[in-house]
Amino acid sequence: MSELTAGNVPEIVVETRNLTKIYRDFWGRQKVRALKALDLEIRRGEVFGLLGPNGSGKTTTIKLLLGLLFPTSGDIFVLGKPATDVGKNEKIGYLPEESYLYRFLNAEETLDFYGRLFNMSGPVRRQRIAQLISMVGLESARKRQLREYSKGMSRRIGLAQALINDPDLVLLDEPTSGLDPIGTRNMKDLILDLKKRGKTVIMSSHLLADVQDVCDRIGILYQGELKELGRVEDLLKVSNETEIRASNLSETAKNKIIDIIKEDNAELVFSGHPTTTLEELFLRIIEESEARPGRRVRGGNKI
Amino acid sequence: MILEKEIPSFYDWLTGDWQRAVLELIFFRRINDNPGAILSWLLSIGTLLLAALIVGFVFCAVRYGLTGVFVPFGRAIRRGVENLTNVSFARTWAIARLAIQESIRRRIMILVVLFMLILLMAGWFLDRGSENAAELYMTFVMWSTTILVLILTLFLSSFSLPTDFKNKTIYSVVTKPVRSSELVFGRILGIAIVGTAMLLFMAIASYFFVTSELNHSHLLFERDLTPISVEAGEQSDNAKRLVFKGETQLNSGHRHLVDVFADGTVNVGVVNGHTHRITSEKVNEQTRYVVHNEQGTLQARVPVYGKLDFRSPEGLDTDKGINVGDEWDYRSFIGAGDEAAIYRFTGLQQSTFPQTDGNFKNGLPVEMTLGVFRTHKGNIERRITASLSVRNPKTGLQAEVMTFSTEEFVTKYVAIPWTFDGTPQVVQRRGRTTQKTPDGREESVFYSVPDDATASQERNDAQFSRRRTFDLFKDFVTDKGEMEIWLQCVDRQQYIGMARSDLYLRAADGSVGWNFVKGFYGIWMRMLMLTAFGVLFSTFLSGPVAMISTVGVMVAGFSKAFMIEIGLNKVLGGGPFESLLRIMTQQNMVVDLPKSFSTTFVQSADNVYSMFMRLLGQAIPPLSDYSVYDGAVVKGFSIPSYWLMNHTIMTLAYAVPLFIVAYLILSNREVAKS
Repeated sequence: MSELTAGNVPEIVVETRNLTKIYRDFWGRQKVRALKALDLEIRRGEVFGLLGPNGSGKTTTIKLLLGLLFPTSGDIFVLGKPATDVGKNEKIGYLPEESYLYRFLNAEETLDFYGRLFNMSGPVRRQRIAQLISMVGLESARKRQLREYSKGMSRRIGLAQALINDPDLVLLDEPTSGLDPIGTRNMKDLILDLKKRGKTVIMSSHLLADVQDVCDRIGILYQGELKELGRVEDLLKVSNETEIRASNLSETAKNKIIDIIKEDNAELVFSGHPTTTLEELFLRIIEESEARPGRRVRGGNKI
Repeated sequence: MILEKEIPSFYDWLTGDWQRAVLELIFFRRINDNPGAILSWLLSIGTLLLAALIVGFVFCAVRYGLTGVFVPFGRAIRRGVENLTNVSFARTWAIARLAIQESIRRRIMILVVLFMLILLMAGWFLDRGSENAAELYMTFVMWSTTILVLILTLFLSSFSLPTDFKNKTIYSVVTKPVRSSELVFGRILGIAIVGTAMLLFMAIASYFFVTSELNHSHLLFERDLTPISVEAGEQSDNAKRLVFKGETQLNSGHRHLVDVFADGTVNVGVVNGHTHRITSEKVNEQTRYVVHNEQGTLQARVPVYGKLDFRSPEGLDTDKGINVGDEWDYRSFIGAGDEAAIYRFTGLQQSTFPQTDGNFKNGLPVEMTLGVFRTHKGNIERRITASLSVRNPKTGLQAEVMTFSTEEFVTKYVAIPWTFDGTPQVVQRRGRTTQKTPDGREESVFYSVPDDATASQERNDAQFSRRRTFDLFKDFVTDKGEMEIWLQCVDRQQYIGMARSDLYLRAADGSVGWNFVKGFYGIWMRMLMLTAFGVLFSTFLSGPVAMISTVGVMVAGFSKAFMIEIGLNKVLGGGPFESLLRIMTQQNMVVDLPKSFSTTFVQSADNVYSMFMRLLGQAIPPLSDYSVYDGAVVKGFSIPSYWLMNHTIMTLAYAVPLFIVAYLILSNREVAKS
């Protein structure tokens, strides 16, 4: 592990080595190989996205990082500590796929409960609760039991509980699912705000546009294997093609587009490699993986 | 009213006959019935911890393989010790608080309403006029409270964690810096607080219910009393002269006999174990009687037990009397003649006993519940007569105090007066034993019990030959506070039966309220033990299975002795497999099975089963001890205060290891494993 740290946070926030998880049945027989030899390093201040179709191992990875599951083999270090070490949770915030919260509590009681689990003093807890409830926009529903909450409201209170301890590492499992467009926008803004404040965010999502908007790096998992890993802009860059983008171009110029751009005194806005969308990249990797199982796909290049 | 199983002293309970038990353990013998709490606990917990270590090791071996098992196993144990010693009370309290909130929000208060309804309806059906009304009412409230509280904690403890797993709410808890130890302890604490609050409410409601239901008064008017004429030779102005006799009006199914004396004092007869104080006042030339509330329905007797020996028809000491063919060998019987039941008391002090008591009237209070066995019907209306004598074990001086009629199933209250007139005699106790002669033969020899009774016999004979007035404590109680009470049957060819607990001296009563508290304390301890078991099972089983397992432990806890007996192959007819073979081949339980392959097979299977049962039997807490406690309270016996400590120690001694095992299981469980 890296010894370089900023404050108490190590430079490498998450590190997995040869991480493998096999689900077995009661008799110890192998049921599913959920994760195969995952090597991953996530650095401080990054927003990292885990992508993959259903059953690809995204949630398993997050659960392994949190210590909710034990690895079959391999090592996991989170904030410099083994994933099974409870001490690491002091600086972690986790928003589960669905809001697994106590539905008989109201919003204030929920945050109070989780605040107590961090040994927060009464005044600090109260201040934090007020701040978070206001942040997620649940002031009017703070006294209502969670059983009366809509899905979007549940997600928002779920997010508030994940941030109760002002964590250095935030794990978000499908953070925008169940949110309306405004809620989605707010969530993305929040992630970017966390990044601005130097926090590390790991998120998994099916909503590729969301990932594309906020993530610095992404990893694409398929059937438990890491198929792609890199910076979003690098991965989306198509290196064997050139794209020229222009504006105010006349009809004549369109016919002689490359030769006469300069002669026509048109403004050259962009010249470079075109980018694909994340959705295209994602689908192509899945297609490729199905066609040639076990092979790592080269980032950004059309094959 | 008797307690068949008396409450042992704290030291006896703690140590028992441990030396013998250790030897029996070493030689694989059946362990005696009283190995002491410490040894029982060591056996139970030792078994449990051993089982936990084996299970843990097997789990690790399955996960990491036999070669790689030691490192993770050692790491798990080290981490376990660290986590157990670093429990944060704030986090534990947060978890406990959550359990309390959950219980309240899930409308647990319905139980309060239910309990009140049960009490209200019980008021209609319980018979206040019953001979044992106090026992009836106390049994009812203690059982209903026990059942309700145990069911409540059973559900809460068995379903609490599994519900968290099922709803995945546990995800958002264990991803906070919460140790498994805090999670388990917090759950136990929260459920215990809820259960305690409910129990407290039920105890208070029960106390007011029992006291208000049993409390009653009677009416007494002048017309209920018959004047007694002055007898010849009696002075009419004697203040202690009986002037009226009569009965109170009927209430709660009974009336009390009333004697009114010239000085206005009123004596009230004891009915169903209670009496009333009656005062009188003159209003307009008429006497108005005020019958006050009952006294003595609820009692907290403090019995002083003696050691029971018997005297055979030949006048020799024996351990047992005659067996009259009763399968229940609790009591031994004595016939008329020289036979006697001898209760020997030690450490008696006059100050221990109430000097004046409404029921006992200036004497040493004795309560007894004797059995009766008639060999011929005789006059069925007439009860069997017995005599009660006292004897000084040092001097051998004996005097008959009274004769009385015995009645089966009825507790008799008598008082041996502090001074009384009687005819002295010196009775020597003798026993017979065998000893080896120098040439190796065995011969019967007689000995005296105790030896010093004979030393001064001649002197005593001369001193005690005439009827005179005796002082009970001066003449019959030795310096060490020893005294004997002899019971003898007077009617020929009839028998009276007794056991050690059937006769006891009654020291000054304890506080009824405090005894009530102690009774509910026993229920509380049981509830805590159940909670610990429920939470333990819920760490690795689903809710319904955890609940059934907890119920199983409770049932097994009440039949621990039987389980160990099965484990030691002491049960007639063999284990389950042999019994099955006997049923199929129609062989009765006492016949030896013929030597065959099937016999060897079933007996081998039974041996494996019995080993399992022995281990299981040792690991189960001795819950039957709690029933002694209940029995004492409902029968109106005071529970010694040290017994609270016994139960606290026993509960903690099991709850703490259960907590540790629960923690170990939870911390090694994959929370998110589907």
